[in-house]
Amino acid sequence: MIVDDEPYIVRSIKTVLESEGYSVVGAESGEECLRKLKKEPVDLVLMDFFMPEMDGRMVIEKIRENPGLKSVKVAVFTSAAFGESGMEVLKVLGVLDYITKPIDISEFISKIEKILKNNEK
Amino acid sequence: MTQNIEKIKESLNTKKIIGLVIPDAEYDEILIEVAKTLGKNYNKILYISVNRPCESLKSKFKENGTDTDKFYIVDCITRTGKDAPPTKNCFYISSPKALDEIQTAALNFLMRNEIDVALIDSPSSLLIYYEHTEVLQFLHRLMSMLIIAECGGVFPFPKESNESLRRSVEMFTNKIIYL
Repeated sequence: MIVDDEPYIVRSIKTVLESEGYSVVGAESGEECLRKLKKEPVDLVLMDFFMPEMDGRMVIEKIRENPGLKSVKVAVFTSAAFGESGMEVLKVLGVLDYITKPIDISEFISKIEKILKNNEK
Repeated sequence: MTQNIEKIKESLNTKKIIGLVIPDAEYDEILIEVAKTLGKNYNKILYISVNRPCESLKSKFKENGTDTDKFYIVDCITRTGKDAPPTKNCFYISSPKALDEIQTAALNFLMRNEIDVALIDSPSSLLIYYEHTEVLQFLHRLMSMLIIAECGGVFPFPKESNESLRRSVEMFTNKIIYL
């Protein structure tokens, strides 16, 4: 699942990942992400950090609070550079990686592959 | 308090971006004390004041024995109520709503004055004018500017109120100090 409040980013990433054979669900807000996760299990949530209403941290915390979503892996997808405190928080929240925007498509795809391979272990 | 001030000094010596979490009741008092500490330890301090006029800030500093000449102040509030005469080392912003103006004024001070450390007082107040994400993005841009300028940054937050902004900003700091 790709979560970003910019619809064109959701569409673009969806297109890139679908062309690689992944099945991708899009969400344009934290609320939509949580709603969709309840209905449709996913392996990985790729989460933007700066979103209105609920930012990435709030959404990840909600995911982690839900025992039914325990197996969902989360990576942060953001233009933000996290500080040391932020990296600690991401670690505590079990965030596997963070991918910075703008993306290099081939690096992005190999990062996603790597995250999902770790997921299978 | 002395121990906490030492923690702040130690963190800022490495030009880090730190978040300060201050009990609401002591917020103003502690912030003046923090400014005094910055004044003692640095030569050039950028002070972005969202809701305290430069004039009253300077008189508080003087009462407290803080060297006001070391401070470069971005005053976001005075001009909302009256015309402000040009003041040494102070730049008046038209309103706290003018995030672009605040950013430009901060950038000008950073570029022209080799600022050692910047303090923004009080970022949570921006939530009166903007929603959470806009304030967060603004603060992130400000932090990025400070990092590029190799300048330390102090981002104070009241402990009991607006917790969500503080928790989001925490993601971009090097250290959080609870006072």
